[in-house]
Parts: sequence; C-alpha cells; structure tokens
Amino acid sequence: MSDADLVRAIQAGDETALAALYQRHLPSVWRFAFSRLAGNTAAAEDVVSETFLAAVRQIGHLAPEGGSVAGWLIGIARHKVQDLRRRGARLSAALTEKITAAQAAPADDPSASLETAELRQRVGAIMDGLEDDERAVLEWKYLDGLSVREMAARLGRTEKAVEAALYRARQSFRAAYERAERAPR
Amino acid sequence: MGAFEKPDDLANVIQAGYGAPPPREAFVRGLGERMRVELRASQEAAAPARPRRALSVRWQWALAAAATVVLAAGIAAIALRPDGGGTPQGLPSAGGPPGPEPSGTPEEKMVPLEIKLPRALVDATAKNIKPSPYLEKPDSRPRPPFIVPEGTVNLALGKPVTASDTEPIIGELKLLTDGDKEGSDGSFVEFGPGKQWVQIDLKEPCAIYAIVVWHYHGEGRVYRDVVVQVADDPDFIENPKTVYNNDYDNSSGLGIGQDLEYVENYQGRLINAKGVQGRYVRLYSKGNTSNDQNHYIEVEVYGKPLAPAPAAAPAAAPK
Repeated sequence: MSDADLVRAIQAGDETALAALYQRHLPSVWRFAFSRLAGNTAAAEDVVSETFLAAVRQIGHLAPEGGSVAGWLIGIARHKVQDLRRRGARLSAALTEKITAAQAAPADDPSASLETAELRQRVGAIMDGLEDDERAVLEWKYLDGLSVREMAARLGRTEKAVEAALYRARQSFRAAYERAERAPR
Repeated sequence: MGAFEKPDDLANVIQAGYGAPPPREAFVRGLGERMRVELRASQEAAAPARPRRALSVRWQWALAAAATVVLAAGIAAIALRPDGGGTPQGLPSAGGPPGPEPSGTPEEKMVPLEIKLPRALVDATAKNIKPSPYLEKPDSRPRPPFIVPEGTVNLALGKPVTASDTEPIIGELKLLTDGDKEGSDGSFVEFGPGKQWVQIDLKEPCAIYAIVVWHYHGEGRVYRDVVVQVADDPDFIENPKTVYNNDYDNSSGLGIGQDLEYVENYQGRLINAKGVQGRYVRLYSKGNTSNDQNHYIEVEVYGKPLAPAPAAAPAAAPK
C-alpha cells in the first residue's frame, strides 16, 4: 500500500492505516530528531510525539498525491526542533552545551568522540539538505534495509524510478560530503 | 582520493553518521495510542451529521468545564450552608469515579483542576488482564475536567514521605513527591511484596479535594487493594477517613471497598476526596497483576491549608 493510499484511508478514519503509516515513517522521524538534537533521547521523544500528533491533526488537509509524506513529516519535525530550541527552558543547559560542542567541534581535536560528533553533525546536515525523496531512499536502503521493490510500493512508483532516485541520492550525498570535507574548518 | 572508494563506504558513512538507537518500545506504543485517540477526536469533530460545524475536542472540554463551574457553584451554595453543611467528615468512602463534586464554601470560585500529565507510555487496554466485575473498563480518553475551589494547589509537592517498607527495593521515598511523573527508570519507588503503605505529611491540617496517584504506567497493570485514607494523626488511629477503597474481598483488612480496580495509565488515578480534612495521607496497595511488588511514581494531593482558627478573645492592647 502506498503512502498516498494510507493517507486516503486515514482521512476516512482508518486506524489500521494510521498505525501502518506511523510504523513506516517513525524510524526516519526518530533519526532526524535524534540527529538534530545531538542524541538527546528525551528531547527527541518530545519532538517525535509532537510531530506525529500534529500530523494526525493536519492530515485531513493533506492532498494524498500532493508530495512526499516522508518529506511532509520531516518538515513538521524540523519546525518542532526549532520550537524546542526556542523554548530554551526545556533544553537543559547541559544539552545546550552538548549541542554547541557538537556543532563547533574544533578540527584539531584528535579525540574519537569529537570525530564521531563531527561526522554525525556533517552527515545530519547533508541528509537534512537532500531532496525529500533522496533522503528517504537513502535511509530506507542503508538504514532500514528495504528492497527497491518495497521502496517502490511505498512511494507508489516503478522500481526503475526508485533506482534512478537512489542513483541521484548517492550522487548528491557524495558531492555534499566531499564539499564539506574540502570546506575550511 | 575520494571519500567513497569502496562500494560499502557510503553505507558505512550513513550508518555511522545518521544511525540512531531505536526509540523505547513503551514510547512507541504510547505515542501510537495517543495518535489513535487524536484521530478519533478529529473524526468526531468533523462528523457531517451535525447541524453546525463541530467544535474541536478542546473547545468541547472548555465549554463542559465552564458549564460545570456554573453548576458546581450552585450545588456548593445549596449544599454547603454556613450553618454546618460544611466539609464531609468520617466518610465511609468518598472516592469512586472522579466527578465534579465540589467541596468549597459558597464564597469560593470554582475552577477546573489543572494537572500536568506525563507522556503516555502504554496502551491502557492491557491484554493480559482478565475482565472482572471489580475492574473498571479501561478508558484512555482524556479525563473530564475536575472542579475545585480556586487556589487549590498540590500540597504534597516536596513534602516528607514515610512508608511501611523503610528500605525500598528501588528508588527513594522522596521520588513520590518530587513532581516527576514520567515513569522512566529512576523516577519510581519499588516496595516489597504484599500489603504496603506510603504516607505523606502535609505539615498542617488541610482541606483535600483530589488525590492523584501514579503507581506505574510503563505497563498496563492493576494494583490490588488500593486504599487511600486521610487522618489528623500520623498513626491513623484517631479518625482515619477512607477516601478510596477497591479491596472488594477485604483481603487487606481495611474493610470491603466499593470502588473499582483500574488499569494504570499515564493520567494517573484521580480520587475525589470531596474536601475531607486532615494532615496525613496514606495509600495502601498489595502487589499488582504483573508482580507482588508495590510501586509509586508520584502522588499529588490537591487542596488548601485550613485557615487558622480565630483567637478565642482579642488580645489585650498593650498599655
């Protein structure tokens, strides 16, 4: 069942379809929040909860064929992350420091943890900057282990179209990664 | 040299840079349930059969609360006359399903009680609990507004706690009144098996309108023999008043209760204390449907300190 089919069913009040859509897209939204919030699980749970609850409230206004559901959800999550940062009080001082440190890790620091933080920050930014479908297929392929056929069913497209999207996504990711490597630190 | 020379390089970079541990199962289940409730509410709000555009659930609650405030003020004015209607005393059981039964004075403005709820961790319709005539049907809908006199606060916050089991298996007694209701590891206390009690000292005599208890909502389970009492003395000897009792077979020896057992959820159990007066609040339980231990995440006692008694005679003016 494609995302568009699930959206139509949810708009008609189908709770099973809602559960299916939730199960399908939770990993991506979770990873996005986890990445953007420097691995703070409690804050990520807040963002993911608010994202999906807002999505349920708004889904009646969503055009099923109007675009990527994955992109729509990440768009909501992006706003929720910004809201969380603005609220400030909900982010402890320690978390704020952690995020700041992760985002401004000095290049000459040889520690492994900082290298990991730097890698996560770089890859997170690249993934966030990709087209919605490109990010989705990369995640599904390399993190969720989906086959091209499964991805095609989700997106309501042919397998050839998914393979083409995967090709473009890899190219975009590589280019962005190499640009980031060359960039002055 | 490029960063992706081998076929697996790109996969490795994405996994190392964007992978995340999976979210907690309880969180996933709880959010799924909240979404289901939200979908139902939005469907009801958009029902086409209504003659006018349906109000959102939030507005329906707000209107219900406002109507109840008006009704409650009227009831209070009739039932609580200055000639002694007053606050209920010596209640056999003032608990039962929570409802807007105010206990203020005619002059007091009545308002909905605001309770900050933790995140939902679990589907309240637990599958492993058998139906019973003594078990309330699980209901995960938001609780209707509960009306209390204006100025009602959580008197238990930060107050000292004592217990029958002085050495909890997990956690510390102070967790009961620390304001953290989330139910995650480190926020609950586990007491030994069998009948156990915990007790909160409010430090002064108070009028109590509601007691809200979260035993453990990380799993849908039923705590046995939940009995809640209020008293003026710390030993509960002189005049203990029972405000809730669901011990249907008197297996805890505190009397047969008329209240129902219930499945724990994130909303906690709100017990209508109907303005009962006392300084100490004691809560009993006797294991649960998952194990023999007793747990508490948080207990809130909503009420107001009693006004100090007026002096018998005015003090003589200094000469």
